Amino acid sequence: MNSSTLLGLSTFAYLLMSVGHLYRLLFKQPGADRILIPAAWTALVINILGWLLRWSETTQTGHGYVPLSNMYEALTALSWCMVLVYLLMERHYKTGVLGVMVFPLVSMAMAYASLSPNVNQQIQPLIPALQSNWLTYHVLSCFLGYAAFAVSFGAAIALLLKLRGDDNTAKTDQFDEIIYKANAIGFLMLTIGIITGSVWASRAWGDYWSWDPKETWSLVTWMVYAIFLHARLSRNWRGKRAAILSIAGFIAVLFTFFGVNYLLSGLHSYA
Amino acid sequence: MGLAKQQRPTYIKFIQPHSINATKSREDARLHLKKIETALSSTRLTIWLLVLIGVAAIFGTLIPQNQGAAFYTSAYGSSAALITALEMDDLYHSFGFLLLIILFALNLGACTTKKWPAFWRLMTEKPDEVIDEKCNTAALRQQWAVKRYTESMGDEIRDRLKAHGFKPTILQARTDRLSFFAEKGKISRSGFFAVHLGILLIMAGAVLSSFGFRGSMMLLEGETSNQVMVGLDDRSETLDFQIRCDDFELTTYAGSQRPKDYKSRLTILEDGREILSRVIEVNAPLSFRGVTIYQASYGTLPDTDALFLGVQPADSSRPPERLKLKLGEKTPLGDGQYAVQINRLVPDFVMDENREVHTRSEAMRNPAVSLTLFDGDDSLGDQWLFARHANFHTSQPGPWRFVFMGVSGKDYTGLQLTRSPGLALIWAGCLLLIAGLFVIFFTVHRRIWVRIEKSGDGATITVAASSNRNAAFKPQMAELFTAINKCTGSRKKNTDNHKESRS
Repeated sequence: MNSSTLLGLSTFAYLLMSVGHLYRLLFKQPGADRILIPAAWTALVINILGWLLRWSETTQTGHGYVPLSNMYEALTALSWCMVLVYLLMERHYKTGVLGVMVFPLVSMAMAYASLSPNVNQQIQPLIPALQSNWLTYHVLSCFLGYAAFAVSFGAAIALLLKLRGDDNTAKTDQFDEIIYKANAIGFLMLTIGIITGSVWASRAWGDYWSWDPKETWSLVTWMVYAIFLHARLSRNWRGKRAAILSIAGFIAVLFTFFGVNYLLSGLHSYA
Repeated sequence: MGLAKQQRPTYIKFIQPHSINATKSREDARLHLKKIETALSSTRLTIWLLVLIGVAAIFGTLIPQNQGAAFYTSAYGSSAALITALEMDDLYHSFGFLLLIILFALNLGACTTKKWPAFWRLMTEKPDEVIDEKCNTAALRQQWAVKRYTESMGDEIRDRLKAHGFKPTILQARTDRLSFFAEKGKISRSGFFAVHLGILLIMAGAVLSSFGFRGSMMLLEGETSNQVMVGLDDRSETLDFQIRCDDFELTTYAGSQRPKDYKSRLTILEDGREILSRVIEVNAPLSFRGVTIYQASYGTLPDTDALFLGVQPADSSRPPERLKLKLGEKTPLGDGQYAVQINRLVPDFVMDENREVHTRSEAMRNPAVSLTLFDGDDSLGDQWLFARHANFHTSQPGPWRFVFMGVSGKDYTGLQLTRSPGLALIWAGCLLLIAGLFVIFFTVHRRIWVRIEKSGDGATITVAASSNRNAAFKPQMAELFTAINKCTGSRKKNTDNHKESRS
């Protein structure tokens, strides 16, 4: 048993979950939650175990590191972050339909990690600049933030779809609440992520902020969600407008995470 | 008519006492200031500024920054002039960007000061002074008229509040009136200030840090320096102490060239006196007198005291004799009639279209020397020699033949030095920002006033509640109202004419 077997298994589980949630939505089978929710927890555990196993595999090479230092490791970690945030939200709000947005995203991330030729799966020892605990704090808090934003994106799409169909507004109130809560948590985590990254940069390169494209894009993302929070808290934006802002925020997240790596260059080019 | 209109102001001006005019203009100025303040403190402005700063920042990631004029001409052609004119080649330090940031700081400051009086009033407000007002106007409130009031009723209500985690304190306990107050999460109100002050502190720190410097220093093992190279334009900063590199060590991962760690043992000196000695490595810098010294890079520099030359008389068939030369030092050959001097060492030889010699890099990729052969004091001419290409050289005048046999390398450590006077302020701002966000997102200020007005056997009970997140507080209050209703409703059976009025 190695980490890629477990991670492959969780990818498969997430794909099944996507299908299951689609079935639940299209055939209006809320009873399916009795299977879908425990199955999601199981898939999450497999995902986390696979990631932890990868960690132990790095130590076997003699220079262990927390597996957050290349795209493959990042995506497998981001996936469990997303599912974790989704499950916690779902436990509280019991929407039943959020999964149909989240699992395809998670499946895509996992499938991309294991199948794309752009993603190197090799365990490579860390260059000195990456040997820092701040790296772990920085990446994990950013990922929890991204995960929360992904959930809010799912809720925003659900809300817009609900508004098109003539469902009762009580349901969209719930999505409004999820969007706000997820964005609030995401914003807090992203703030911590940017700050820990800044502390790390300051210790490794002597510069707390250098306007490198990744930094700049994370700041742009931060600002989009800052706009959302101001619009929501002081102008009470809800419904469609709030959902559109959240979607814009998530596009910024995607660009920060993928776009910068593939389209622009900078200090973060190794990640 | 036109004339009258023109004359009228003159007339008024004449009869009006000067002081009134002055008061009026002061009033005008105050009004203008007020207008500016209102405009500056609007959330709409915050949102627009965030949008503008965001868009500008994105432009900065699309156009490579600080690349030098040649790059922009080749990459953007005729629009290169526009890019440099708008300072888009150094966007984050451009005037326009700075202006946006300054406006943003003003906006933030204005918002914060605008909210301060209300916050202060709330923090210092005496619950017994506002209880009547709250009982009449609070958004969440309920009133019960009880026909037969017993003292235990007040206690029961307090128990209900305690069951919800509140700790009620008695405000008034008179024969005709009992009131108490409970609150939770008062800190919630300060979150706004923590976040916005945090951001202002970060910006202040960044301004302060811009008076510092960030530069680099290359030190050979054993070398001492106090010169820091700052920026691309060869400016330098002189430290008030010296740094000596005692040792540099690079370790690589087993079986590969991948660096695992590199570290330098540094000694800080002042007027030749050793002050401290410390090993620094990547991610573990050393701070001394506000200057932080980072291990940034490493490399090999040629040792100009150890240039090796193979020397041979032109008519000899013996193998060349190996000589060790110092750069710029005339060294006699054979019986001393001739002498040789190395004038220049180029680590990575390249010749441009004007046949000017340059070095492509600091690495020893194609080391070359230029030397002069002397007959007595007369120069016989210069020649170029290449360590990697012994047979490739310029013409060799005079009776001696030379081969450049290479140069000793010396490891150097690449240090990054920064003085960032605002860094502490920045980290303080960051902590404040994070703490403030926690407070805003995870705490709610809830206040509950209970007023029991006794008259005869009966009483009017009023419960008022307020919070900075009424949506979150509403369900809890609904529960509390039901519970309190039970406390008072238990008398319903006795009196049977309990009246409930909900406002």
